[in-house]
Amino acid sequence: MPRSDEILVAKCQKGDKQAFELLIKKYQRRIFHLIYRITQDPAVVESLAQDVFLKAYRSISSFRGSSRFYTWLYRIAVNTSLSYIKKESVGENREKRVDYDLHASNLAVDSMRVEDPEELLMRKEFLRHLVGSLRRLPEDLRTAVVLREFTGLNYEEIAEVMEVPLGTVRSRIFRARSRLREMLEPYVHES
Amino acid sequence: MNCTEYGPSVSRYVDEDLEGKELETFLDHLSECAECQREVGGLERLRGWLRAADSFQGVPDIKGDWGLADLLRREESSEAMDGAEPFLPTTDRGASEERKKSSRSAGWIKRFLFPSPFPAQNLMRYALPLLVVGVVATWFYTRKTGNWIDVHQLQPLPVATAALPEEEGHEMDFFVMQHSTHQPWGNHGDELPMIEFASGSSR
Repeated sequence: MPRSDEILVAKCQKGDKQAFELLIKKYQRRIFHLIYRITQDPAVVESLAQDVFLKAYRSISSFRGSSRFYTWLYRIAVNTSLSYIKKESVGENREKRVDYDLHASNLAVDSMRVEDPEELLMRKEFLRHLVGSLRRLPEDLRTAVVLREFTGLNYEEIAEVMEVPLGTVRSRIFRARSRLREMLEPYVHES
Repeated sequence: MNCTEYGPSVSRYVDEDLEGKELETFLDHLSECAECQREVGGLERLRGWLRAADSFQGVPDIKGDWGLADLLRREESSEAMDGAEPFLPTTDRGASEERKKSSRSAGWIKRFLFPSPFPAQNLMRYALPLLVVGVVATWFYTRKTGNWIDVHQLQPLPVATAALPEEEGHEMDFFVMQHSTHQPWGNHGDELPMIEFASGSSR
């Protein structure tokens, strides 16, 4: 665990609220990012992030330091996001969310100043395909690949966050990538 | 060794998860195996796409300037944690409500009518159902009115041939009448018998 986290967590456990404020500031964006990638729903990111920090604050006294603080916090974020997905039993609503997501993506692609309209269109189509493929992955595979690719955790950290054996993480990441490549294959051939 | 056995190792290799003997064995294989080398390239390309998608999507525009005090107040005001409205600092609350109202109404209509950002896809969204409705309606219409007949399904009926006996006073001594009943609309009450005369004289 980073030294600063260790000190701040120890202070929190002694009742220092300001120390927890600093932890919020440090991890807030990362938690937003993680929740957004798992739920794919921008409308609930802030609400779920607040839940995560509140849960962390309420249970920080039980944190023993056997794992790193950020993997512990990510675990709360992953569990909160997955229970939100289960609760919502997404389905139809997710299509709308992806449209919103793609709208934001289009803005990003437009801002790339791609001169050739055909190339711009191709990039947009590919992005749509990629986001759709990621969304279609089962939750466990998607969470594993999100933690690896977007959050940058290593396999051991992912195992801690997901509370599964290391072998399961390896297998999930391998399967997630294989499925993504299968789903993207038609597009790759076309291009 | 079969390359399919190395599939998971390739994935672990690009993530720097292989160590010691495992890494050495894999590198020995990789240096001689074109298939695994292509696989490494493919995975690196996929990772590049995912990173690009991540930066394209970014993170939603959220304030995020709340602190522990805000969270504790929110907890007091609401027992239900999951799915509750995010708490915003007091200064941002009014502006946020306004933003939400205006974007909700316009955004909802636009997303409902034109869900895709691509005009061609929005067109297809309506074109295909309209085409299907058109085909089904035409099928029902033609079934009801009988104006559209599948000629392959018609069964030729036997041709009745009658030779009328010669009668006194007739101008024509002998004729043969062919009554063709080869009409598909026969069951609908629109019988239009086709009569062909093939006349000839017996004399």
